[in-house]
Amino acid sequence: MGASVEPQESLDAVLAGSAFANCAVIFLGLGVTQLRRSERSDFRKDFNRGFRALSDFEIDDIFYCEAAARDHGLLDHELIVEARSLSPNAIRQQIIDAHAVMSF
Amino acid sequence: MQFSLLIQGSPTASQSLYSAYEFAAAALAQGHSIRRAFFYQDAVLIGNKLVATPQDEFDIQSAWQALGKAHQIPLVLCVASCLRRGILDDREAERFEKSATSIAETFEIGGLGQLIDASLESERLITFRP
Repeated sequence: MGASVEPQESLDAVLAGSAFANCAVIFLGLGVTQLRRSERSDFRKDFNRGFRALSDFEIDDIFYCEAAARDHGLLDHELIVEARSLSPNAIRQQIIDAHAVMSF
Repeated sequence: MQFSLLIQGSPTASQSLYSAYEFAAAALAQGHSIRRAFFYQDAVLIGNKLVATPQDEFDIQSAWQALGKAHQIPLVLCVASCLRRGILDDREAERFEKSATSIAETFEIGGLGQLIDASLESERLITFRP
């Protein structure tokens, strides 16, 4: 987070995966703050604008954990992309239904 | 069963490379196979040939090299992660006009497509985070 390069590298993996398979992205824990439109670092390019590329790569299943959003004060109107909130149970089901899960 | 490994943590700041190594060794000892080990993010630092491990410490890089050689496991370092962290082979050093290479033998540089292939073609992809 912040000036870390990890969110950017995680996004790269998702975009690469979308060329080969049907992908969904789920933001969990502190990761939900990446969805905040105003999230910026002085030291890194605004990587979260790259999330807008997700739809160009036909990744429409973008979810975030509703509990984490509440914990971190993330509001619907702040989202940088169209993402849907899921309950922890619904997230569990998404993970169960996936052929492969990569966690970053 | 055929496994692939996705390893993300730094060799010095996390347990990730050690846990993955132990998992791989145990799986192979039980007759399973490893299709590929894919090193991403800080884990690519395992492939830095300029590391000099103190003699009385476990040399995790040599351990991975020996495992890779003995079982013909491709040890693939993500190219984008490598470039950010100074792991270069001949090709990348030339491309970016750098004066030296730093990749250790047995490791190779590859793209994210190899990670996706590993996740789709192996029976299990096991992730080792920091």
